[in-house]
Amino acid sequence: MESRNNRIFGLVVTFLSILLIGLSYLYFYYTSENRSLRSKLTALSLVETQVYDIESIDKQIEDYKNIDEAIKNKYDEYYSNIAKLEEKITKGESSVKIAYLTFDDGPYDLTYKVLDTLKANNVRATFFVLGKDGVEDRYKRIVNEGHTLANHTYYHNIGKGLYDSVDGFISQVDKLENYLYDITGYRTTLVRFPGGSPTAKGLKDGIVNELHNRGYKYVDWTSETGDGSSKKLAQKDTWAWYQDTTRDKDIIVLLMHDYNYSTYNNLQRIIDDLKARGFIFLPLHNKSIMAN
Amino acid sequence: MKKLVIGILFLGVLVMGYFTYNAVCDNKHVKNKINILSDNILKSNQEKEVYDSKMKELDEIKEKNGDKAIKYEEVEAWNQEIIEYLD
Repeated sequence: MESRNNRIFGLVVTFLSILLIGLSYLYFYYTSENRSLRSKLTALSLVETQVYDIESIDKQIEDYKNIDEAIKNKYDEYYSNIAKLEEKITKGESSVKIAYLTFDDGPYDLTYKVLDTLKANNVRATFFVLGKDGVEDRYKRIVNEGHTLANHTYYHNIGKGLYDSVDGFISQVDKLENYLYDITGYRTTLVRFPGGSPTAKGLKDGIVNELHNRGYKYVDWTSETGDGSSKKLAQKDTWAWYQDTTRDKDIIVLLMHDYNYSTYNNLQRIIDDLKARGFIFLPLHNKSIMAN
Repeated sequence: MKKLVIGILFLGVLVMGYFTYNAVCDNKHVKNKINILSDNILKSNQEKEVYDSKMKELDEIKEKNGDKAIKYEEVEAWNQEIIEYLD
């Protein structure tokens, strides 16, 4: 009996001893592994992770891909707001006055100086240009500096066929349009009749219809420096013309020519005078009430 | 005496069992944390690669359309001037 008890005791002691040794082995094994794992965890915790705003970059890329459309829409918004301002002015709801400075028949060499003066005064104007070779940089500068590039027909040949037919007139508008687009990538939307719209006489309605069909509007003028009548007009005379024709007006379209030194020599004075009278300077656009 | 020996051994098994259990649980916990951190780092690295390539694309398109972007901002500034007059 005692021998049996001794055997059982021996078996239990052996079993418990093996179990204890096994557990001790496992304990030291996991403790050791945990130490190395914790070192790894500490190292990984030090690695900086960052959240990248890829969605925002995608949106910027999309905006840049559609930048031409975005600019066009922004111009539309800008011109619509100018039209609203014109409406307020005509209703007497705004004390602001608008001056649309316009220069016809260029570009000439003097155009550079005119552009310099406008730039120095942060003034944007409108250039009703003709088709000329070798002056591509001037067309580009007009557009790049925020002025409106507008159509004054390719040749401006009043009395030499321009007003012989509607088609003849329109072909000159189209010819200049394509010429300017090739140079500047800019589509004109405004036309000024050489000599003014009354010069077209009986053809005027037909021409206007065709212009409207092409998305154009035409602009005459409310005021002028008289420099179109003579290149030799004295500076005091262009100033007198300017004063006489801008009096008592809240929105003016001032006709000038960027070949005329008399006008150019008065330009700074005209800008200063208009500013003093509460005018702001804007480029013309086909949503303006001055465009027909 | 025999009972004492068995009792001590049994107690030893219980104590070592407890410590070993804790060590195993700790091991699982740390491994889990390491996996989460590793995944985050991997994800961050992958996102960085995508981000870098997108930034490169953005820089290229900005360089190509830089003048137009300036023009857009310029027109926006003019527009704001008119909005001020309207207000």
